[in-house]
Amino acid sequence: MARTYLKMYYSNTFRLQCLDIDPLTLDQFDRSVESVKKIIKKDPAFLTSKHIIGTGCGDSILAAAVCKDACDFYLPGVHFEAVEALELSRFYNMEVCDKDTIIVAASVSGSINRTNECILRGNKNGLTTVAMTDNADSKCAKCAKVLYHVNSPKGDNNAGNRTYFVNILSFIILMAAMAELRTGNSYLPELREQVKKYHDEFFAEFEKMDDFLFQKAFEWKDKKYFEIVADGTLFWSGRFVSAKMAEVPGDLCSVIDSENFMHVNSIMYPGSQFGEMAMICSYEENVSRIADTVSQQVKRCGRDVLVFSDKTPGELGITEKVDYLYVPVPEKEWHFLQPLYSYLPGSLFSAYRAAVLGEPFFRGGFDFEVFEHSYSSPEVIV
Amino acid sequence: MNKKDYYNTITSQIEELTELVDVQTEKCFDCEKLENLLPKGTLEDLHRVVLTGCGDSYSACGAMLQGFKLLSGIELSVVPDPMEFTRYYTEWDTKQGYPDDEVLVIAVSASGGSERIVEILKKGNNMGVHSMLISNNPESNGAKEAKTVYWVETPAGCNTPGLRSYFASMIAIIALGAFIGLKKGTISEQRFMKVKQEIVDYVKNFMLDFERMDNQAFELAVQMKELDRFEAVGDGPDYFSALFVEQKVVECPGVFCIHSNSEEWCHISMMVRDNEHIGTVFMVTEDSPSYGRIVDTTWGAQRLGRPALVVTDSDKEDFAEGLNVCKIAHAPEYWMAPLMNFCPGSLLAGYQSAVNDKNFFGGKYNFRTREFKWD
Repeated sequence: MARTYLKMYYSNTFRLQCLDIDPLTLDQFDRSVESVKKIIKKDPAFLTSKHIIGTGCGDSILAAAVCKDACDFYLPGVHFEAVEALELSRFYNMEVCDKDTIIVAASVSGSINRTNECILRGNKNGLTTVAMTDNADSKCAKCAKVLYHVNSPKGDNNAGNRTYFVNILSFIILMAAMAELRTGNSYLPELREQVKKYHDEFFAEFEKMDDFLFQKAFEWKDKKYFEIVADGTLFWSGRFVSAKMAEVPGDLCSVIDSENFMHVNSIMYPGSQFGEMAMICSYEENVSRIADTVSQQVKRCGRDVLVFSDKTPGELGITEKVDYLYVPVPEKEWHFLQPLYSYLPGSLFSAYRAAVLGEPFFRGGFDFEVFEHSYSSPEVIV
Repeated sequence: MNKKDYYNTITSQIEELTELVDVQTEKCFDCEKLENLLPKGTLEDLHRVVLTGCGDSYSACGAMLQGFKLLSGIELSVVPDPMEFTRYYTEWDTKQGYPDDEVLVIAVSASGGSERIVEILKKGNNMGVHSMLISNNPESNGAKEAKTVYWVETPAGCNTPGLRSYFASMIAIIALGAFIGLKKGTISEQRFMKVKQEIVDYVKNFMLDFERMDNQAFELAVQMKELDRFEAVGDGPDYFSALFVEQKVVECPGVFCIHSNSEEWCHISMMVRDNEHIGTVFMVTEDSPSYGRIVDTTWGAQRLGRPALVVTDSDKEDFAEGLNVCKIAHAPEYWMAPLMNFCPGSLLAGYQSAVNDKNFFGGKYNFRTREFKWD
């Protein structure tokens, strides 16, 4: 006899964080706008800079990485780079940067050593350092030249879904505010309208996604390996999902672009033990390549593939049988808003997988005996 | 178990590096060849270089980026992945505001024939910038598309799963960077020749200890025989060595593998379960600016019970007991380490495949007979 599983028994704090993005969206938008208005005229670099470096560790750098398109939209001609904190603090040649280069260091806690090291190194090189944080008393906040206090409402942030969203939204708002400063035009009200529009469309589908991914967590309960295939900005959203797969149910999850999959990861086997997630936006330039890759994942590799997209597999050109979940995307002109929600289906899957496996997040929490030598490394080089 | 029974084409290709380095440096640090790659005066004026490729070639680009920037003096050198460049890079992303004549797009591909390689070069051409193919096949489709071809002239030899071509691509990229630096005045002729000689010396010095490394890799592969998940970790240039090791683990035993840097490992990868079943390879270069951080990370791995191989040129006793430390020769400059530090992890990949009686490439390549068998 078929067993029945009640979703309510498998909900957990991480799933609730996914739900929490709904009410958080416009509240956080207004909070970040209020904060950005306090700082935007504080430093002349916001008016003149042609180079912005977004940095951070873990989820925070992944938030920076998905904001390049927002920079291209609001600040054409400005060179935006997302540089991992380790790379920026130890390897990057800051000495050759223009003095009005801005480093936006994202860390909600403001206590991450490597991120703080980037700020200190930026200060030493005379750059404008911005601590984008929710902790105004943190070391990052105190060390940076400018404090961008994101001022999030209280809530559970374990495994960081909310904070990731807050970072992305706050980055985008900073870009729009800089554009307002530089052009004298008003951009933030229109941005708020578009965020609301995308939000409404996305969350109208949320329950269907939630049901589908709950079911998928059971169907894929015995999968041993997980992988995400995605390109462009969605690659970085995929990296966030991969991080959640590690932190929440405890799975290693690879992320690869659709070209390199064909050169390398297609060789991993046995395919039947893989749960493959493909993140695709129908109006992006990669569709022909990734559609072929997904078809090959099924045909050649024998993998089960779940496609997250705004168009059906057939419409995308996928020729093999795959599972499909409809995921709304913003209008093409506003494509840079896509990272605000594109990770949520993957996050939901990770939440349900943890519940289905009975796995505690972070394997039961931080054990400082174990983490002593790594996470809280006190070593700082500037 | 007798190591000789598990001899495979990774072992043989690494053994051949001792001879290959002489030929490859001669063919790549060839000033006349380099001089004629682009119209006179072009190299001096370059301000932006975009390097990319697929699979191992992409790893080669990333592994040499630090050295390329340092020697060429072109800070605005980048290595987007092939999809990022072909489908997402705008004209602004490619040129960063510089005139067409000051921008070079380089596709790296030993065979030169893949569809994406042609697309990379076509995209560069359509933008009006210089396009170059670094390849061992001057007759390939990519060669026909590129405005210029830098033929690496790797001598014939077994190249499955791609260690010779990876090594050749790295040498070519660094020779080009050094030559650009020479033309731009970033480095002197003496430094140009010194880099070439240091590479030769480094490789030969490294290979003096090959037998011990090989034995260690084999023994470790036996210990790690049952493992079906791996991770490779490296920072800066070594991040791409880690990616290359990942590629070999995927191509040889066909098992699951990811890569990371030390900071991200501490934020993400260390959170996974079943650590005792995840083989982990760390690249630890003593002169690297992140040495202390990655040493910390190896301690974290040891505390979590990960079976780990630490590939390091450090003599310091900085590593926890229980870690398998594979000492390698010290690179003359830290950016040179990726020229060889991929070897121990690659040997492990080859032996892990062999001791499990698995042929390479999902069973299609018999590393004993050196033949592919297609379905």
